[in-house]
Amino acid sequence: MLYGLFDGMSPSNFFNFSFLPKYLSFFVQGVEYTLLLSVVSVAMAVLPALLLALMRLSKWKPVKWLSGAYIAVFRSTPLMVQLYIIYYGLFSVIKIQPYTIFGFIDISRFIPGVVALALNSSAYVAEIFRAGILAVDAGQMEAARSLGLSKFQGMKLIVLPQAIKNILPALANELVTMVKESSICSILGMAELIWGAKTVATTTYKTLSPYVLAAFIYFLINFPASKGIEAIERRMRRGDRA
Amino acid sequence: MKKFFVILLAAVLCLGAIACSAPAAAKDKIILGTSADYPPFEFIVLDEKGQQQYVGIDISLAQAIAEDQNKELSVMNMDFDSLMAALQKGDVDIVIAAIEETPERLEAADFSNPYYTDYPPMILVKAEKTSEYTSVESFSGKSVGAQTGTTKADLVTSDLPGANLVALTSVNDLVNQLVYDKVDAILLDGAVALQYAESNSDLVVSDVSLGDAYPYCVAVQKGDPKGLLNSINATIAKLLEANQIQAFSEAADALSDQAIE
Repeated sequence: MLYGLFDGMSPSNFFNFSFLPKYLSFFVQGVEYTLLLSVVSVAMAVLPALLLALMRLSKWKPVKWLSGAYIAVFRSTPLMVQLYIIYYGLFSVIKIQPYTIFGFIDISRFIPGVVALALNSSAYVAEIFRAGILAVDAGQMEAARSLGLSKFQGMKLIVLPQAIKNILPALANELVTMVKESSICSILGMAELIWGAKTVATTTYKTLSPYVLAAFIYFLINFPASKGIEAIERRMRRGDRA
Repeated sequence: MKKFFVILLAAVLCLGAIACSAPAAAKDKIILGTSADYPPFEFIVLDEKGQQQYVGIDISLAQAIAEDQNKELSVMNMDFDSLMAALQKGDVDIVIAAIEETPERLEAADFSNPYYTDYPPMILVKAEKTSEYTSVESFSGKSVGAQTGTTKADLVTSDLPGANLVALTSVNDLVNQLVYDKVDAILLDGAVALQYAESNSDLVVSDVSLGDAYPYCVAVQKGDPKGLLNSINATIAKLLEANQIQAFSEAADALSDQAIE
């Protein structure tokens, strides 16, 4: 039975890396593009996400509802469709001239990609923020208020700094997720890692192994990153006990 | 915390500034939309300096068109099934991607005179099963793959009675489906099928012949608002007269062979 599973799966198709080192540059540029895309997207998602979270916690119904609707829409629809709508819809109104930075990043594709990923990510990060803020004991805000701080000051000076500490690991995890999720941008020709693998696969007629190499590279990025986040989390918990 | 936000805001503004300050090109540009996963028509190779370069028959043609209009060629690469949308949106000026003129496509775009006639579409099957397929009827009940949004996908439905169409975006995925027995056959443009048969000893072109060879054309926006069509047709006539397209084809085959090495 076990042998049957691998029938016809000749390892040479999966692990034939003879396209290296000639085509290494596709993977190097792909990694750079992927990292830039995900880091910038998550960074740009932070501020809107904070705003969304605060709106969601607001007592004022319309504001609360608006933020809730945004989060619901972006969390409940496929990222792929969001990307299409933003690239073909929003960015046919906003025209960006093709212009290459760093020698291989065409901003007329990069920016729509970043905007789509950031809008999507802000919905997820907003929920992270909300949970982080709610996790801070309500007594903290009460104490702040009783010391004469305004609600805004209490949020900014007392609650948020404590919340951010709880949020950071989850935010880093969002980045790890984004590194993988950003591969969807390859369908619109953004030259990230999966796009590089696809191009090498079609040019060299090696139809599988470039993807296997790409997966290996994703692993090399994400596994140490996750381990690093775990270590930071442990370190923070130690601070809590003291 | 404040500093962090300030830096973030500055970064966002910088990105915006880059977007707005793209310098005007000295020379007018003509933007080609293509799907560079289709050797020998359009694909990506590395030049001597290790730079990525679009090459192939269609790219050479686009270069000739740009030269004749005294413009600079800029290539926009995307999935094949996104090309017509990009053309309608005006993201690209012309589309050259081994594309045939069809009544459906004529509703979305205008087409030049033909520049190249490929082999007829060919059916690629597993080498050990090739004897099973003797006529179009023998594909009844089999699953046959073709590329989404192409005339080949339509051909499977119309000319292979009883066959189930499996439509995928990339030829690469179609070949994987065939190699790992997820489909029984795939229908590709002749030149592309021959290349895959040559580079993969498991696969052969079936003897069953199917349909006619349709010529490929250059697509421009419907109504040709940019007035490109006359110049494009003149370029094509000139190239055909000088037998240049054939030379493009040979050069593309040579580049593809080099890329596989």
